[in-house]
Amino acid sequence: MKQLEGTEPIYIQIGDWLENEILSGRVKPEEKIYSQYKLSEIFGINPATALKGLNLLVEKGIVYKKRGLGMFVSSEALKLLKKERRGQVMTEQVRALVEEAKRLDVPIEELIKMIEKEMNKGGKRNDSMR
Amino acid sequence: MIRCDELTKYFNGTRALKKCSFEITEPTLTGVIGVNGAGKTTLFKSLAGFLKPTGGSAFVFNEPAFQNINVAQNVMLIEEGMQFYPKTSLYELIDSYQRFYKSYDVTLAQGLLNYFNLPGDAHYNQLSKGMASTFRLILALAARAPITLLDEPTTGMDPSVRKDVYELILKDYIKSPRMILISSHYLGEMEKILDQILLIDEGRVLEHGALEEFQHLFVAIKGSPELITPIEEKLHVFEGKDFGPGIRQIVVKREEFKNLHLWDEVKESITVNSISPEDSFIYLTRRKGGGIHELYDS
Repeated sequence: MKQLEGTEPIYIQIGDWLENEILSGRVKPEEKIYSQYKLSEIFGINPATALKGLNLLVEKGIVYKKRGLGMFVSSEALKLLKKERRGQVMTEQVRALVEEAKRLDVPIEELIKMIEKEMNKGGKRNDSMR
Repeated sequence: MIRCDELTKYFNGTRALKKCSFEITEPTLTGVIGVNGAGKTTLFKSLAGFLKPTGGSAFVFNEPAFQNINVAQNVMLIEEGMQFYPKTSLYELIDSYQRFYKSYDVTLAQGLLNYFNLPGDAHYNQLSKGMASTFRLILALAARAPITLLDEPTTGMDPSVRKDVYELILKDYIKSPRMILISSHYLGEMEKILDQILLIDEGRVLEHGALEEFQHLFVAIKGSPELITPIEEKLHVFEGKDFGPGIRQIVVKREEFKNLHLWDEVKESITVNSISPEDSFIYLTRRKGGGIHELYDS
């Protein structure tokens, strides 16, 4: 059984985990996504909580329901997720990075160089960038 | 279906339940949470028909619960103090329950006895505290009763067994969805298998709702005292703490905080964190007027 470790409500953690599964390509567009009972089994959580996690993705249009067949990843899923993550997650992380750079008196040119160096490291995409 | 309408129970003038009202109509794994003496056990015994209400009523499938055979056949209650015939083996106890509950699953009961290494020919009063708890739980789950009331089911169990037991309850619920109520004075490790919470305090229902509602109930706000103090004056503060000079944290209801209109500069200089449901209950049920420190620091 997978362990959830975080202070966020469980259904939000489930939503994030599902999004990462899609972004990493483990579940592809137009494929069936984990059912609420499968999620319940994987994480040892109540099926109602698992369904709330799935519904977060339904509300965003990342997952859609096929009557009688279950829930599927939409063809737009990757586009939507990348857009959302760029908007929210990246902005937050850049803000934190810039604050730290200011505290340490790192000039902007050096910061950009550090970012470029990190991006060139280890070829195209590593796991932490997904 | 379970319904309590202003259910009230006094024991020799001492309040156990006072105008306790709630309703459950769908299959659920509900956590009944409250401090010791809040009234959890009395509530369960009233629903099982063991206790006659002093006032108000407890209904199960639209019938008054007290000494009602239709109710008894649909409700399974286990608690630490329950009595069994002495000199009866665990197998025989399962057999006697199997005669009473129509849907009793004897194969499941035997499988679980083996899994938890409980000898079927042992007597109940030979079991250790933790093993006795495990046996009662097996007895209860195998009954497959539409209403299953588990009063502090993990008493005396060691942590590894407790973990197994929560997984067992969840699996059994998924296999056979029904109304399962689990009482506990602490939520921690049980939280993730639940979907609803019924919070009991001083004999009444303080809150009843989806687990997620409790996850959003309180926030902790941290920042410099100059920023925190003006907020503190406007809101009901459940806890205030100083983390060394220059940092103060307060715990307030999320809704109240959201309705404050703060300057953007203030918002960017404070941090807001969610409070776990476990801690939310502590803030909700905390006795009025100060904590332990007030007894000592005055």
